[in-house]
Amino acid sequence: MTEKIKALKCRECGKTYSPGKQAICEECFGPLDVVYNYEALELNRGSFRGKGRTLWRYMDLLPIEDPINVVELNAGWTPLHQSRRLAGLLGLSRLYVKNDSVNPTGSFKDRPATVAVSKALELKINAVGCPSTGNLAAATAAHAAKANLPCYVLMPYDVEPVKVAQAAAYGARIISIRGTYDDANRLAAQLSERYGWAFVNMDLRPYYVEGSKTLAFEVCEQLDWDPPDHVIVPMASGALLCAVHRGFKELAKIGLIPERTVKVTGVQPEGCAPIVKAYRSNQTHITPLDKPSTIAKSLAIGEPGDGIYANRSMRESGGTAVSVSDEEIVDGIRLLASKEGIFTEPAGGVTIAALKRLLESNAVSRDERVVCYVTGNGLKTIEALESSLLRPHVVEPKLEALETVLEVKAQCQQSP
Amino acid sequence: MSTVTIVLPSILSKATGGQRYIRVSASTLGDTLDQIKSLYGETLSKKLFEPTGEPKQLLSFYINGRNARLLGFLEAKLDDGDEIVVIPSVSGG
Repeated sequence: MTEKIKALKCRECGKTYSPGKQAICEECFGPLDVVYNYEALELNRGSFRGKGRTLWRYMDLLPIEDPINVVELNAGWTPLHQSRRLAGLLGLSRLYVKNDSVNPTGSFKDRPATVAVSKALELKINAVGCPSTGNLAAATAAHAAKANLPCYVLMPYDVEPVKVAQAAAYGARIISIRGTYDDANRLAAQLSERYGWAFVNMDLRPYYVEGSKTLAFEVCEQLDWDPPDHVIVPMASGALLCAVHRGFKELAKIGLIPERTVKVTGVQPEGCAPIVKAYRSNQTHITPLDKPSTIAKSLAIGEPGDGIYANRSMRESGGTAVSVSDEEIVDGIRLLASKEGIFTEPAGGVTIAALKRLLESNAVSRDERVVCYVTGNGLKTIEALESSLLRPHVVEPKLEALETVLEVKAQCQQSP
Repeated sequence: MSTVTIVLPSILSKATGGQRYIRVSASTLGDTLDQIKSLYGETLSKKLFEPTGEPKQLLSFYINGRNARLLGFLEAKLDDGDEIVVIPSVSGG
């Protein structure tokens, strides 16, 4: 039987490698991508009918050779909501929200984690880990628990407490770094060098990022294989945006969707927007940011590893890059919750805030079919909203007290 | 001149005969890289530098844990005992 993966290929110089635990080209340090034996694939739209309602329905396009290695917590196949109230409010004809906050651990990170931990089993790696801004920690730890692998997590000290507690509950060994995510990332790279450990988002990165491309696959299938015109994606390292772009291109390559470009737009918070800055100034490199400062902590990466590639994807697809303020992010969270019943963390609020901006500047036209990716659950970051929500009234347990607060007075029915 | 240590990623160690921890005398990051160039010649040079002579964009350089690109990069001043760590920058997130 033909193996599914043909090779790992350098995105920069094209050199190929056999598929193992390797993420970087030895010649030029470019990132390696998985190349599949597409010619051996026999897929059509009907191939997915009746498959499981998880991202593993796309097993043929994911980098695991033997299904026995799949570590399954039912990540993926999350709802795509047609958001009519929000669309009406913003003056858009068709808006969809891909609600990835309902994944097993509450964020899209379950997608890359399920693939990377499965690959760790396939490559017979005996421990996994990650540097994380919080969501990946929980996702990796949960899948490692299921796979019975030890898990090591490095997180900046100011990650939301719920995210630390969640990863700890799954049994991960957590080290809190007195520094930024970028410090955690650097230290993870040094640990990996010194001890040969497998950090899923570094050492298994070619496989890891493949999990996120299913966000493009699902949107297309949920829209009956008629891809959207424009998608809006939050950016931290830029890896998610690249994966989504790659997902649309891959479906077109194998003939499952028409050869029509989906515009991919990326968003960062103003307090951490190195990719957007490079995009705006047309730079081919990213100037790192020393101290990110934003309520969107899951997007607070000052040295985004995939930044230059995210910029290439946005340009190639005809999308754009935009940054939004913390106030706009909070407004975005409240708008999505109050109009559509979806409660997201700040990383999801950025996409709604960005859509508002893009409509105002005509970078998104009102007749486009738009998808906003909402990548994490609001319950993980309630502190982001604490200062902006009205506190509930506290009243004595008496009906009159309630009526006074609610400013209502019922007409008492008196029997004759 | 200060005595500093540069730590190379294992992916570069083929070009240095297996050496990853290299001690040199230098006053800036630029000096340090020049020293490394003259110690290990063309093979390592090609790996570390673009054809324009600039250090490769896909490599990150950290001086005592801080990104050198935030410290003046090649002009960044070094003190005795400083450690420069070189890491391929495609990672994380």
